[in-house]
Amino acid sequence: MRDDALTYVVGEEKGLRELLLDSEVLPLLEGILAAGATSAAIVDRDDEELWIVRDPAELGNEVVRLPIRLEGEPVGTLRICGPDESAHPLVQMARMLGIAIDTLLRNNLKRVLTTEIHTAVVNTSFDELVEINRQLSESDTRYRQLAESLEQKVKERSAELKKALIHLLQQEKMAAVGQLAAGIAHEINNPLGFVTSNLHTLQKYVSRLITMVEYQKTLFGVRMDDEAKTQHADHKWQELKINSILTDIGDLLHESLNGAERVTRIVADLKGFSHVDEIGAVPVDINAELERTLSVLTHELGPGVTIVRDFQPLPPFSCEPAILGQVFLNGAHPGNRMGRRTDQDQHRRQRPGHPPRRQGKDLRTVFHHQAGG
Amino acid sequence: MIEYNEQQQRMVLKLVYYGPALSGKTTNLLQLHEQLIREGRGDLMVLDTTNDRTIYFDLLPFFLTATSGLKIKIKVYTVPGQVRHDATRKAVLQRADGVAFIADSQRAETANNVNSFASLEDNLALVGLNIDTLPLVIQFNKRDLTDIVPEEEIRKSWEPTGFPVIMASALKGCGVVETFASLAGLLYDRLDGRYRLLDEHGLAKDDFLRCLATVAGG
Repeated sequence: MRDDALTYVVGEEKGLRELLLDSEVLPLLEGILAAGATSAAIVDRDDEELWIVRDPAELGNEVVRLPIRLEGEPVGTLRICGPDESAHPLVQMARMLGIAIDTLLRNNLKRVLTTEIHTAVVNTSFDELVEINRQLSESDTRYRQLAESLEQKVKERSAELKKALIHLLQQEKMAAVGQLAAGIAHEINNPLGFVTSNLHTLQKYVSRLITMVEYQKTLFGVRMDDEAKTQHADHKWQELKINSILTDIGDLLHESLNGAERVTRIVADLKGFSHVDEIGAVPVDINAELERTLSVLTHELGPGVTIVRDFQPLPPFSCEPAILGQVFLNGAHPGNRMGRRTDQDQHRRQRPGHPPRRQGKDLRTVFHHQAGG
Repeated sequence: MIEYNEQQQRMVLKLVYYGPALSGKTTNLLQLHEQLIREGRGDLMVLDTTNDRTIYFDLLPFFLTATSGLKIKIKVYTVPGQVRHDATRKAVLQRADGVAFIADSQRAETANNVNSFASLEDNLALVGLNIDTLPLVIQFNKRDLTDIVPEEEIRKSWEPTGFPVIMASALKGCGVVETFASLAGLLYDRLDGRYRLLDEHGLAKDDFLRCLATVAGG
């Protein structure tokens, strides 16, 4: 209970002074004085005067004493004095006065008790409300804090998710880059393989041609008739299979040059695609950029995939070509890259001296890169 | 205890009639007022009511004087039974010296009796009174009605509490004085233990009970 609250204990004893007001009692006492009494008083149980009115000019004897009861218990006395000759009517009036005071007392007590219990209930209810309010505020604060921390937690979790997503994207990117690199390595490896193989064959051919030339040079110095020399030379010619060498040598050189050109083109495309030499926005031919992307992707395409180009002339567009290339690559990248890889070089001619195991090793390398990417 | 003034030789005590709504608390006081001798008691004061339902309390005061001159005043209160008036019940229970729990014997009221008794336990604890040492009697009222819990059943479930259980029909005036006398007896024992009513004030239990609970014309 608060310090400033009025506190009552239901049942606390009340005195006459607490229950009756001067303004209520004195008019009653004055009334009987006017009716002929010389004095009228209410005294407490120790005969102490609580209220008294008297006619200073008149003296009289006590004509009546009536007990005043509170909750049935005598708590005071109504004392009326007056001339003996008026005793009888004064006694009757005093009884009336007694009833009036008793009624007044009873009603005032009721009022006081009602007020007290009401106040006590209001105090208790107020205290309970204050307590409930305090608990509600506490719970409100708690939920507010929870809500705030929830927001914070959501933020943290979102940031974590974002980080994880970026990491994942980066990984995906790296995987794509790795795959691309592996594919391109494969793409370069193929022409390089048969160029090397052709060079080995050419080396053998040259060595046989040298043998032939040296044989003929030696044959010139030998004393022998021309026919015999021709016969020997022809025999050697046959033995060294110079005819087939002469037939093949042109093809081999042509093929090797093609292979070298293919590598040159791939490297040029790759360089162009990555735009390593360009910084910032430059005028870009979008068609050329698309073409470059497609050429980088060639190795990714499965069998039976046809690229249909329907380019329309476009004005140069100012942008960073590397980014544009990346966009095209992402857009054009075949969805299912893994497992659908087939050897792009099935059409490659098997050359003598070309080690057949190379192909398998290449594929293993590719898959190794894919798995590692 | 409301007040004890050793100098003035005055002791003011409080007894409270507690119980569920409409169990007959006010009727008990009306019957006491009706049946007991006028001497030594005041009139029943019924504070404002709504449709005859107590909303504040009723009060019946008793007073007696021991041979030593010790004046003892006992104020008997009822509380409003309706659940909503719990704050009033708490206020009235403050400093109580004894409680008569007026239960309703009707079967349908069993739960209300239990709830009200639980609220009595709670409120006593709240106002700092110990139910184990406080004089407390239980009255099962309305025995005159038909659909009521049998006495045997009531005794079986309530007597283990250790509180005196009294059957009553307040409306017919039965068991009312017995309940009050039983509570007054417990009150005397407790006061005697603490204030030596017999030894120091010459007030015997029989005199105490005679002053408080003598039936008029009996």
